[in-house]
Amino acid sequence: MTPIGLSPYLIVGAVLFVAGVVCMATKRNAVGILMGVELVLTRQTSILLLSTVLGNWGWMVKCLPCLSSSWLRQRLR
Amino acid sequence: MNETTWHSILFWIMALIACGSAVLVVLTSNIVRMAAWLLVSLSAVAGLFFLIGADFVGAAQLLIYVGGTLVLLIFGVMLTASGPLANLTTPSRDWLIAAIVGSSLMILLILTLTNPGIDWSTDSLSDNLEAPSGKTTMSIGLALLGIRENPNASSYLLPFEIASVHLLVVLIGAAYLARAKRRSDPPTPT
Repeated sequence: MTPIGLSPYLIVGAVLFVAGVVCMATKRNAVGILMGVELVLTRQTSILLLSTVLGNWGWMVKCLPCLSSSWLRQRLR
Repeated sequence: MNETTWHSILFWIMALIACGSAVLVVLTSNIVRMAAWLLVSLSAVAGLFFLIGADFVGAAQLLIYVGGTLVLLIFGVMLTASGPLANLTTPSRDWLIAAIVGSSLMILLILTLTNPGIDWSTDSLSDNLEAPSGKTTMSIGLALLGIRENPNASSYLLPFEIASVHLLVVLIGAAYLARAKRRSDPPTPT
């Protein structure tokens, strides 16, 4: 179903998420902020869809410890 | 070329279009052009959904986001905001803060993706990748209309009809509220 693997989809999702956050931070009107929110929500939809296609949430649960501060501290050394 | 190669080529084309358009949404100052680039980005994401095998979500993305929300947004902006919203300039301070926040988020996400503790390869997930895909629209439509393989299973026909009647009532109410008001006093003959 996804012969190229999971990480390219997650990279695209990361780029869309960062673009949406930057759009929300830089645009000074409601319509621009709404467009940023739409980008972020699109990324969330793609992530949820990937989880559904994979059939379980195991890979997402494995991601959670990576976001902890101790892991980041160890990684940034 | 085999199916895997075509899948990879289409994925990278869609991914480049989606990411490039999303970056252009951020960099463009004209709001109508922003909406146009967002339309391109969301269309490419719908293509990615089709590639995953979720045809219903891809079609819903095209119908709702591209066909509904964005066209409404573009028409609303073009009909209402002519002066102050046409071109928006972002101060340098905001760009600096946004660059710092965006770079930090991107570094965090890339560090997560490159974590050696997580195996992102397809091989480790191959057991889970056998989930059914394709033609989900047909099964969802049949389930909405109450046609199920198992006759004992509950159907969604009643909620479907309630939702359709609800939307009809909202449509009539919106048309009633948006109609032109008639003048109470008749025009005086000249």
